[in-house]
Amino acid sequence: MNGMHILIADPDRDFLLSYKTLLELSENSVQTAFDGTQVIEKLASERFDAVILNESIPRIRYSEIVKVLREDNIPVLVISERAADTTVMSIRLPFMPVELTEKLAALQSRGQQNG
Amino acid sequence: MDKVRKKFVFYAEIAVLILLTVLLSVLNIINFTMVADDADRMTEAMSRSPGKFYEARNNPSGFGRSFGMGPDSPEMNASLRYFTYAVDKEGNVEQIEHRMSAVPEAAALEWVQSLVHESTGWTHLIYRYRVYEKDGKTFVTVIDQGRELLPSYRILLISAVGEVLVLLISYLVLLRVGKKLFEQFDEADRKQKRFISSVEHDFKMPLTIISANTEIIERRSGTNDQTQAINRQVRKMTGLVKHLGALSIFEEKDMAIASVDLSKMMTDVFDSRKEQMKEKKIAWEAAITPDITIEGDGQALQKLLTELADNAWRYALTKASLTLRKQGDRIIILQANDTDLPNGSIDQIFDRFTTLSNAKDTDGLGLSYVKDIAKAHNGRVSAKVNNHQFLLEIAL
Repeated sequence: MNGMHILIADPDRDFLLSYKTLLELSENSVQTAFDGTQVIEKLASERFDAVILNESIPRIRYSEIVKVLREDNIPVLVISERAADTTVMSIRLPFMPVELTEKLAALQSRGQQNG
Repeated sequence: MDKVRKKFVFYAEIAVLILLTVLLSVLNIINFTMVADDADRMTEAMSRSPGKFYEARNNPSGFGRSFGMGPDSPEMNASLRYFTYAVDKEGNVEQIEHRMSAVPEAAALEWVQSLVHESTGWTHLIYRYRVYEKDGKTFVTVIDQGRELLPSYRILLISAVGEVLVLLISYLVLLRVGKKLFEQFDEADRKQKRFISSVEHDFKMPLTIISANTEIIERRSGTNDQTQAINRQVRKMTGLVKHLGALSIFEEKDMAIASVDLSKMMTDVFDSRKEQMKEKKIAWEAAITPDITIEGDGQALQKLLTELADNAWRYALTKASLTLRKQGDRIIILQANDTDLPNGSIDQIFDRFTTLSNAKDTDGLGLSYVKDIAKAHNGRVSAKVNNHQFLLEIAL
């Protein structure tokens, strides 16, 4: 999984920094947002290949953001504590980096299949 | 904790019921026996007369024990209803005394004929009789104990009503007392759950960030002993946090009950461990009775079997096995492996955060999860060591 333009949305700035760095080391370009408002602003200005979204993102409920992403056909991976929402691809905290990259690869191939 | 409280109330009520029933039964039996005894005393004295009360009443040997009440009452002579008939060897019946207007002579004769071969007892509900030999004849004396029995029946009725009332009141009291009694346990249980939830929640993100940054360091500067050590510890803590999360989920959610093919599930778990066991040079065997199904939560049962297989892999020295069979209406699951632990029961391994002396790289939660799942399926667990053989049994 590389060469993707990814948006990571999470209220934890250390998480944003860590995964931005990690994903960029795999030759992806990465933008970050730490609340729902920023997410919407970024989505309005750029086209992303995937969005990694923490379900506890503040300001706007994550389900509203997922709705917007679905309408724009943007694949989304939700970071969740319980992964109770089965309608969207999710990854449960805590996870190792390899788990995230596997999920992103699956998201990418799903996105390619859907055209 | 609510289930525990209800169990407490239920068993306490059973204890009250048994205690009351035994006590009141004994009291009523004693009461009725005393009525019979009084009657027997009278008939026994009358047998010496023979057959007539007022003559027996004058006999000093039989009476005087009840302080002028009951059989010793001065009015008893006038109020006692009875009859005595004598039957000779030829079967001729002679009336000795008939002081019972409720039973006509013809009926009395029939009674005498039917009782002549008996000794003593009750007849027609409220009549006490005695049969005795004297002067070559068989005497049958029947006395009416209806008036003496009435209070006894009243006491019996009052006992029954009283028992129901006491049960009801004790139930209400136990509910109240149980609530107060279990408040502290409820609070301790809530605190434990809050702690687990808090640990789970507060550790998740930091662990994720640590592992990400360790990977960044490795990519930039290469892997070294320190980064590997960090990764191992992060994986260990991640496993612990996931276990805690699973425990708290299991306690919260309702089970999704469906028909589960336990035989197939166990076969799959067994097969999935073959390679690992081979690598560790452990002889891995299974004795799985086919077509065993159970109504239960598939996800939870899968977790249970996986934990058993993990336990076997972790602790077996040279051999391990899984067994699934039926025993009556119970399903028995066994996990066995050789061990160097001493003989004895080791049920404490099912307690949370408890490990044994040979514990390897474990958080002490896996088997507590097994116990919770078994209990949720109305099952029980046990573990023991016998002759270097560890045996874990689950009966569902």
